[in-house]
Amino acid sequence: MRAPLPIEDFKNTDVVFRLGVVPERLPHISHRGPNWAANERSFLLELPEIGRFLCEEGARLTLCPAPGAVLDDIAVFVTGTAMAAILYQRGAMLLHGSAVVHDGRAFLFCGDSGAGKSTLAAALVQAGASFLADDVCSIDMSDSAVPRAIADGRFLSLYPDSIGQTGLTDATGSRVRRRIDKYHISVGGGPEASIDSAPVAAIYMIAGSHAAAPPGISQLPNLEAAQALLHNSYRRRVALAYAHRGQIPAQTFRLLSSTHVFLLHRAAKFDALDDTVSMIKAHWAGLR
Amino acid sequence: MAAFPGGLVWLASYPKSGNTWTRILLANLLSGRDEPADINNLSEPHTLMGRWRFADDMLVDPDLLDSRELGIMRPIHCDFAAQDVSHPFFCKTHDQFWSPEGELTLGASARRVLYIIRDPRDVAISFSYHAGLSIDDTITQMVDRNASSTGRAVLPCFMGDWRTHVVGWASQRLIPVMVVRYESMHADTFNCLRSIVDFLGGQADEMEIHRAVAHGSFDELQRQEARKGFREARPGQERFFRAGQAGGWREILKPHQLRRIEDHFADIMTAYGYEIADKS
Repeated sequence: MRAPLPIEDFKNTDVVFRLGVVPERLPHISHRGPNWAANERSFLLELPEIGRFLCEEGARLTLCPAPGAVLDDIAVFVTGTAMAAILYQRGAMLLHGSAVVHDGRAFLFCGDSGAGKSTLAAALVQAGASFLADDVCSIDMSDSAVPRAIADGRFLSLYPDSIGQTGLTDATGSRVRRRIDKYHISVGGGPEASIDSAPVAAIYMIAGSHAAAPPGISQLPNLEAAQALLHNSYRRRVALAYAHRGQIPAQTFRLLSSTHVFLLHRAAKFDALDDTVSMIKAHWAGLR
Repeated sequence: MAAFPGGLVWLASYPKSGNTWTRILLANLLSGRDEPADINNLSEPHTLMGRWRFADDMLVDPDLLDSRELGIMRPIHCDFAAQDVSHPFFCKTHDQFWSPEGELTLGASARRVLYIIRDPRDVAISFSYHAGLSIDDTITQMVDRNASSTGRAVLPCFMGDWRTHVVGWASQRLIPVMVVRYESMHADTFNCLRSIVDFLGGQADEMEIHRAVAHGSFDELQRQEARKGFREARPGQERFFRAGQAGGWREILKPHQLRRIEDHFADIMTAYGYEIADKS
């Protein structure tokens, strides 16, 4: 089984990861939060009882575990927030979403923590799509005419109820963290499993349904789409701290000039999952 | 136009005690518009109870943290948010003021606390509808010192039992607190709202308060919910704004249920002017 790995496969990959001493403060801070700070060169994150993370110049990641913290129990924060900071320092665009591939096209599903991104991706994989990325989806703007979503080389992570509902019990691996009831799911199969990136065909913003907003898919106007993309930037405040590197407005414009953003209202109940999958697949067919 | 000083104000209460109603009254007062404030646009993206705001500020998904780690990080988050906010920020919470370990759950940097208390006999009925539990099970939860809840969009909330909830918020001395009875708000919304404005150091003239009361009327809230739904309703819940009454327990609670609530809470109830019914 593969171990959870960093997100992106850069040409000449050169991120150095080490354990070591991390200062408590940064000089010349340009952006800060309750437990983090950023300056032009560095990003510092403090997670009490977990560790302190220093990400420098898009190339070096130093972790100082908290006393008693076990490395494999905090790896998820290295592959999550810390790697995201490294990538933002390089000018990357990251969305908080899951992605699947179908007929060579990538479909992204964004939403807040708890919105059901991973469960939906798992259900779509069970319905014949291939898994591309979970939770964080990196968009490659480099050379191709169409922005591409990049495989994250990781596992899906799901709660037991989602695992049961999507029939992935056999694919269940280790816990994401020791005391967290969420598990890595290996969904390596699928007809396009070997694809390492695919052109972004559509981005869906997951929302609940209620009396006034029944299940359905509607296209967002460009301004709302741009706002939704910023809202769903992975670790939005880090993205903003390094916005000048990646030129977020230009990236957003490029993404929106080649793909559409849709609002996906769906019933947030497991027994409605099949209906949601059918609705999405019908929508894909109409996007040709 | 009505105005309030900038800063974080906790609107704290045990669930189903009139917190949302109070928030809507204050939102209408602040908006000062001719039409009622949209119940689905009450600054939820910014609430400190939400998973999104926590992850956005702290750069870590709350569902990757165990309860101990989350318990350490939440006061850091709330204190930072309180120090950073320059506009009036009324934030609802159902958390207790103190954790079971005696730590602050939400920090101590808020400007004011408005604590809303409601007759626990009516809370039991309203909570049972809201949670889809029997009244007996609801009472069991209300006396459980370890009771907590979680939702899809909100952080895990430690409510504990009703008594500790009330006493923890009302008797803490770190943040100036005003305790408002739901029943008083019901009986005289105008004067209650005026005293709340005074306590919060705000300014509002009579006409503005009258308008906020009208825009926050139960009929208006039910009308909006029927037309557009309410995003804070639980999935599958028919109505969030259900009855909005005071004293409904007299027709509904069975004697053993009444006795159980009053046995547990009689002293606090008496202290806040709720007459004990079961004298046996």
